[in-house]
Amino acid sequence: MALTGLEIFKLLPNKNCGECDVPTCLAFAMKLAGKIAEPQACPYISDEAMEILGAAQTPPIKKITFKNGEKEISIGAETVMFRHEKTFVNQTLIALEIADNLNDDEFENELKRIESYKYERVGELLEPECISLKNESDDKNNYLQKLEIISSKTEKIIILSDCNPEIIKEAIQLVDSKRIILNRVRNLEETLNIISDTQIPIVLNAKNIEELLEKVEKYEAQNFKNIILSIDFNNLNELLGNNVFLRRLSIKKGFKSAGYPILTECAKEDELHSAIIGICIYSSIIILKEFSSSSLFTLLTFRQNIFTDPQKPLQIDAGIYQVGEPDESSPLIVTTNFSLTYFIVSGEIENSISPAWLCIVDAEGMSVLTAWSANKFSGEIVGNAILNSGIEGKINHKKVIIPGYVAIISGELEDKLPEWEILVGPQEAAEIPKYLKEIWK
Amino acid sequence: MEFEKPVEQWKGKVQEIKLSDKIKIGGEQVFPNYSFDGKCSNKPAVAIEINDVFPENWPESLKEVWGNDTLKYPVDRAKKAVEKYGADIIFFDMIGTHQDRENISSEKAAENMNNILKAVDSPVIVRPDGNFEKQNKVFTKCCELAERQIIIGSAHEDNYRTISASALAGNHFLIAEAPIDVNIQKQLNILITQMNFPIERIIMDPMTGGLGYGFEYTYSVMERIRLQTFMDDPFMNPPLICCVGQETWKIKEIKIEDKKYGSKADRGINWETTTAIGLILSGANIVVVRHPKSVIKIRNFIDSLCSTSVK
Ligand code: B12
Ligand code: SF4
Repeated sequence: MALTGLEIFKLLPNKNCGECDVPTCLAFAMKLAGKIAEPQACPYISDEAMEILGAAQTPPIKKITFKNGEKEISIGAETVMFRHEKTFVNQTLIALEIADNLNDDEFENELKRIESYKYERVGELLEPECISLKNESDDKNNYLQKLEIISSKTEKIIILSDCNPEIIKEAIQLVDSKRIILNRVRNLEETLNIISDTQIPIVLNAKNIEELLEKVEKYEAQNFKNIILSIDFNNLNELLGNNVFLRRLSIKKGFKSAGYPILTECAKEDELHSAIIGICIYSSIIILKEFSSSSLFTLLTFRQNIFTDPQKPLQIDAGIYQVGEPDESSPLIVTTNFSLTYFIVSGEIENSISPAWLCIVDAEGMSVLTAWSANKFSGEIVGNAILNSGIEGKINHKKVIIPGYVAIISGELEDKLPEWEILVGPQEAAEIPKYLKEIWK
Repeated sequence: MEFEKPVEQWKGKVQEIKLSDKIKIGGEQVFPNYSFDGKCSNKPAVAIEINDVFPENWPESLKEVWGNDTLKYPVDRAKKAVEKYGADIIFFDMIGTHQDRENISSEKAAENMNNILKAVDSPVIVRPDGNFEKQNKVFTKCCELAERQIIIGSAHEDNYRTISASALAGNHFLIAEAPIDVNIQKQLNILITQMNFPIERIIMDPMTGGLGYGFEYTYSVMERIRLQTFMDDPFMNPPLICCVGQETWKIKEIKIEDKKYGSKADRGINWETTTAIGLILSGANIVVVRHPKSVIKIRNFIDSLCSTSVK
């Protein structure tokens, strides 16, 4: 359970030396309580206090980390009910299911299709991170062979689904244990014996919360730590209810056995619907069985939205960026440092035949109109940004193109940059290629 | 395993509004469809957007389903929306009143509106376009001449007086729109009620960006608004409306021609549906969309979500 500022204060040395970068121990305690500082920042903190604070800081939901090629990916570690309270920490992993009873050609094609689902949006790579390999054939050799193909041809995390202990025993020899999850195992007791000295995460499936928590307690007692929760549901309301209750039990009631990541197998008929609930309402992994590129791209964007930190919009550093290989006669375009805005605008410049200089103004990560309304993209601010950017040494003209939506700042900008010509661009970035073609010869 | 179900009960409740004999919205005392906590009341309603003029900038796939002939005639559109596509509510977005577009006069706008009111018996939301001066003229006329009760939008922080007064005089419902901001929303609701307009007839529009374009801000602002409702803030209990269609069909992602992104037509529908569902999960009582297939998908979602009977 989280400690209050005063409770933390009592654990601190009370030297008020300021080495933690705030003047007093009390102020430091407040920062710790607000989770905006780490206890290690105080060099004099006692081991005992460190331990108490460490425990208080362990998130109520267990964190499990996987290997995804060179990268590490984690699930769990969540601390809040609503994303506006702080942020959701680790995004829901998306798993695509593939059955082992496809013939070799079909299987390879399916795998290729899954691997092709990679999209770039706002500078991030969006892709499903997991494959769920479902045992339909009940043929050990076949299953293991398919597993080897997946593990050698992709870097995705693999969910072994519906397997019996005989398969699992050999499967875990084939694949790095940091890359697998066991789901719907056919003989739980025996499987647990097999994996007891590994860290392989195992999904405990149940019909309802009561049954689930009983299972969790039982296996916690046998020292299994990497548990993932999964409850069957008949309709979306049950899915929603189970997820909400589990999250409340762990975060608000301090119920340890509910404090594990949740896996949701999306319902076939309205897969997109259960997926959306899973992403918004607390599932750490969702498994999709039928998927098309159009629905996946939408879902991946949805996930990207829900898991951005509501307190700090994605932003990029201010300064001069080159799009293509601009020279001294290339156009100069300004916009804000909101990532979304930057990626849209630079993308459109790339679509035009003209390379350009892009001056990114620090507008605290706001879109053009939002920044203008908040007085972060005024003529004065834009003018200063241009003067301080050092662009003048790089170009042989004094023309700057501003976003059409802020045509209104052009007067003020002229006052600030009397020697410059201010060109008002179109409103939508999509018009930039056409605009440049017409105006920049 | 012994444990108590962590049910949460709240004091406050979303205002229930009866828009017509068939359509009621709001009334819930819990987060969207948390029927395990308490009373969910009415299902979210799905509205279809129609315009007073031909919507040139709609993408082709959308124009095709509706048919160019239908799209030219607002009355035909309204009928098709209700009878064929199953809209609960008509959202009559009068883009043609904008002074820089067709500049349709306030009299003509009111006439267009009445034609819609006669053609369908669903609730109708009426929203003029243009600068505040033009909008004020249209608000006044529409509120005055409407042949039955309408929902008029939108009152803003800088322009709420004329519209509130007209809506009050005509006994209409009023949409109060604030730019994704809990405090401005509350302030606006207070200002409107200070003009003697009853809070029971307000619907809030928290404004939404499309998925990928600010959706996540609205998502969280609506959750925060609802937390205030349930903590019994008397100025934060009106139902919520989200205009999803107009934010969806203009964005770049649904226009990309590339196999990797899947069928373009499906992508638009998925984008609209996904945005709408996300907003329903965070509290929308009305979602406004454009594509008939989105209506079906959103309905299916709502039915499955509301399928557990209230205990
Ligand atoms: C999400 C959002 C927010 C978020 C912030 C998001 C962010 N990081 O910026 C939040 C909720 C915080 C917010 C706050 C506010 N907002 Co706001 N917000 C929006 C919303 C819904 C989407 C903005 C967005 O992300 N757009 C996407 C980006 C990519 O657009 P963009 O930067 O403009 O870029 C496009 C073009 O400008 C062009 N472009 C960009 N650069 C360039 C350069 C050149 C040369 C060219 C040619 C083109 C070009 O390309 C892009 C794509 O076409 C809009 C309404 C809407 N639906 O658009 C309102 C909107 C921008 N907000 C508005 C307002 C008033 C505010 C507030 C002042 C409200 C308040 N009082 O609190 C605050 C201000 C911030 C503050 N004080 O903290 C108004 C602005 C009104 C106006 N005309 O001035 C809008 C338009 C809503 C409205 N209709 O009332 N907002
Ligand atoms: S460094 Fe430690 S002892 Fe010094 S002020 Fe900070 S908390 Fe107190």
